Amino acid sequence: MSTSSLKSLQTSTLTTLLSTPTQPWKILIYDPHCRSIVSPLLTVSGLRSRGVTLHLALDSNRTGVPGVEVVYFVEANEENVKRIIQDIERNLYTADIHIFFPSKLPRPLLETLGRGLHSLNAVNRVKTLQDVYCDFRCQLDLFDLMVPESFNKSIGGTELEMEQFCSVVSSKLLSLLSVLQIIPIIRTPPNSCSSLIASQTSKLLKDHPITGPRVPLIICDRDLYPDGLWWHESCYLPLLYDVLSGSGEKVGGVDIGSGEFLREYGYKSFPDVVEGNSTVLKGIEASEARLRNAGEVSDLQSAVDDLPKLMDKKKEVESHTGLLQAAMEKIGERQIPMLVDLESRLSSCSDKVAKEVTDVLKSEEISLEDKLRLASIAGLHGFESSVVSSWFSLLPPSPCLDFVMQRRSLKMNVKPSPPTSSHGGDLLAAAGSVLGGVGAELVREAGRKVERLKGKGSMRDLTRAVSAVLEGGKEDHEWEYWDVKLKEPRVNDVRDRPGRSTKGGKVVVLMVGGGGFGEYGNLREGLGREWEVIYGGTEIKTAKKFLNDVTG
Amino acid sequence: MQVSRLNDLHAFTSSLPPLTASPPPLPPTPAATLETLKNFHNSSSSLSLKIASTAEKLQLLSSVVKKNSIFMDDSKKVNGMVDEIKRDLESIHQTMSSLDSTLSSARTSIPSSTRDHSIAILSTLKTTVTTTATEFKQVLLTRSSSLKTSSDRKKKFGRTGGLAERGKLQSLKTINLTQSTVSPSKLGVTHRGVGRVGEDGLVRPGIKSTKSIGGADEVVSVQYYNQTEGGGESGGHIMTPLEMQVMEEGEEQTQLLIPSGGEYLEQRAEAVSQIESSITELGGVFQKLAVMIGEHKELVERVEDNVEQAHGNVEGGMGQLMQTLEGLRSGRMLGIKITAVMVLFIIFFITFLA
Repeated sequence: MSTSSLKSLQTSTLTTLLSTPTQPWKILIYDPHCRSIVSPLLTVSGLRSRGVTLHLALDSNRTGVPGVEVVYFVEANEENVKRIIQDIERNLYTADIHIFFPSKLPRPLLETLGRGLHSLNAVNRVKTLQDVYCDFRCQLDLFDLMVPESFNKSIGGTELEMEQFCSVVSSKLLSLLSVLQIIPIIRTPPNSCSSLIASQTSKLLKDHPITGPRVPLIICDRDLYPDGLWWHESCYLPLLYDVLSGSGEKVGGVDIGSGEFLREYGYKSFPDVVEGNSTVLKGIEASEARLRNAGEVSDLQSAVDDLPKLMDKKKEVESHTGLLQAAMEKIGERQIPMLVDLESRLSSCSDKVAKEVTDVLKSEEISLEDKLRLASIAGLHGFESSVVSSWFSLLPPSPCLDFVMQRRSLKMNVKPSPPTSSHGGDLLAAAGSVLGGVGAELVREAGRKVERLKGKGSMRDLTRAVSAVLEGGKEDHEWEYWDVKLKEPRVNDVRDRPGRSTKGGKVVVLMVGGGGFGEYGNLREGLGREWEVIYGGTEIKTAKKFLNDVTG
Repeated sequence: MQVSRLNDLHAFTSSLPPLTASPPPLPPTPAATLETLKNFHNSSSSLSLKIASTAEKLQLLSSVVKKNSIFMDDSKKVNGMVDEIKRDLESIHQTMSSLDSTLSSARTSIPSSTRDHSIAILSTLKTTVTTTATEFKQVLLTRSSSLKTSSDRKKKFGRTGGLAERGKLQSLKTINLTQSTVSPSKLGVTHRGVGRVGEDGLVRPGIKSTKSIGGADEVVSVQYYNQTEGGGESGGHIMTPLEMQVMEEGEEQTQLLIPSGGEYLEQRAEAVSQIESSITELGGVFQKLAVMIGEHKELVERVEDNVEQAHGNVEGGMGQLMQTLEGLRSGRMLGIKITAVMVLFIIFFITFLA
């Protein structure tokens, strides 16, 4: 898949970094920031196999290991630089020292480091000093630029703060582009925070030229498409992150970092996943039984080879079975299938749907968070203003609703787009019967509740906009166009833009203000197979976190 | 994109004025630590060399075993190699346990990071050894299974040659020969190959060779016949001269490779028992290794901050507890103060107003 290649590219960057020392054994020292870059990519054994015997936190209380080379991989900030100088002063590591920064080391810090080393007469001890440009982390398929509180930074603050925010984001974006090895053609909504980022990124790219193919890079603002993170999802992975508390590679305390099952089923609808889980499990069990009963010598040989692999696979699938069961309970509790179904019908803007929304908002069984999400999404659709106000009056006043009202007034000036597609909610009556395969009564029980989850999501606003930009729709003319290869990167006149040569290929989408798994799922589905979507945000967050951000 | 900034650094530091005072001396590393570490590194590097050479030998052995999976003509050579590798593994194991004990004995004298570093190296080496040993076991298993197959075949086809049976076979053969249209001269050629083992890998479906070694002169009959259940070509299939020739060639090869029957069998039995004993011995080594590896289960874990998170949580909990304690204390203090004031008042009232 696309972003597994992002993962492998980032991993190979880290591997080159770790193979710089001449000795086979070395010590890796990182700070929390760089640990979050390393941890999704390399396990402890992965580090071991690359010769890293110890991986230590820079700020921990370390004792020295004489005669062993040390690799520092830390964020470029003053405190870290001082720590490194302190280490040298204490003579903790007597062999060569290699220092790597994930982003550019600013000149003042370089001077601090130089002065410190000079005063200790240890300049020659440092054998490597590199800016690696890999300042982002992979979260499963998504990239995460690790800018905390990015939503509020992207919509408010003074000019200076905005400038700072944009320069941080663009330098991290440069890291992403350099790891992906692509030259971007940047598209952004007009006069937005994204277009500031685009201009800064173009400047950076002039100083740090990258070689590679040209790929459209769409930078978009969360506050223009706030609904993206609020939708209730029917796909497996987004649903997992929504209902079970999860961060990074761990959901509900289970490490789902890699594995074929997730790759295949991550963005399939929930009942499909349940079904797939049971068939895969059955298949594994069958081949396991076959191997175990193998009588022939040749079979025995293959059994010895295959059995461990098979057991690993089985373990992985079983962990997903556990997750599925846990998720189903929550899904039933929160009535998510009903919400998904209702949300997918919002685009019709009919009175019947409006009435249903009112009923749900009045209902006691739905949590306030889910109600807020539903009301906000519904508020951004083309219902009558009176209807929307009546919905909002049903809920306790919240800054979130004010925000939605404001967005709505902006959006309604633009003519609402016609409904794109409807769902296929009744497709899945059959799914429930298949659920039995997993065996657990619990699963079957909850399976009935999620039957309706199979509805195929319609294209949401962002997906529609992105596909219009890529395929020459309305937004293609409106959005800004930045070509870093030109002397003046910003192209104002539509006629000066080169025509599209191919349909399909890679496309990078960056959400300023935070992205989520659900949005990625909708983009993937909406753009179809010909586009390989590399998606991420200035941070990766859940609907809940985004509600909090908006609420302030 | 990796941009080296070393030149920038050097340019900057060379622009700095030379040091007026000599820098403070670096704190020395304790000599004992250095010595231990040096020893450890030396022996670990020699160990890893040894492991590499063993792996190389193993590769050689595995290729030999695979090549000769049926005709164990150089079983002596193979046995020698097996012995050698076994010895190597044992000595590696010994070195490792001695390293282990050195480490644990030096537990107090060297700093924790150094020890962790050494332990990590050792455990990596252990993992390598385990994989090597596993491969070794695989090779042995392959060998023993191939030996078993051939001895099974031997049993099946080898000892059936009673006199009576031979007669029967002879008659069968004649029947078959009458069926076939191969010219007598060709048949003669075929008979040159008679008496050798037919298990040369060229035995194809539809052709079954039966052989009996009956006594010293090894009079054997081989018959070619077509199995009726042999698929599409069943029934009246007649062997083409080419097929015959191929078969004959195969048999001639066999002839070259195999010594006379009895000796060969004995050798084989010996080899099998040897392998079995070495597998048992290996079992012991494996058990020890398993114990060692068991200590390093954490290998699959991610570099996560769980431990630190837990630590932070514990600290936070401690802080809360301390606050509560403080609160309780101040509450108590307040209570005591109020009581004291009350008591004072009461005394005041009693003494002055009563």
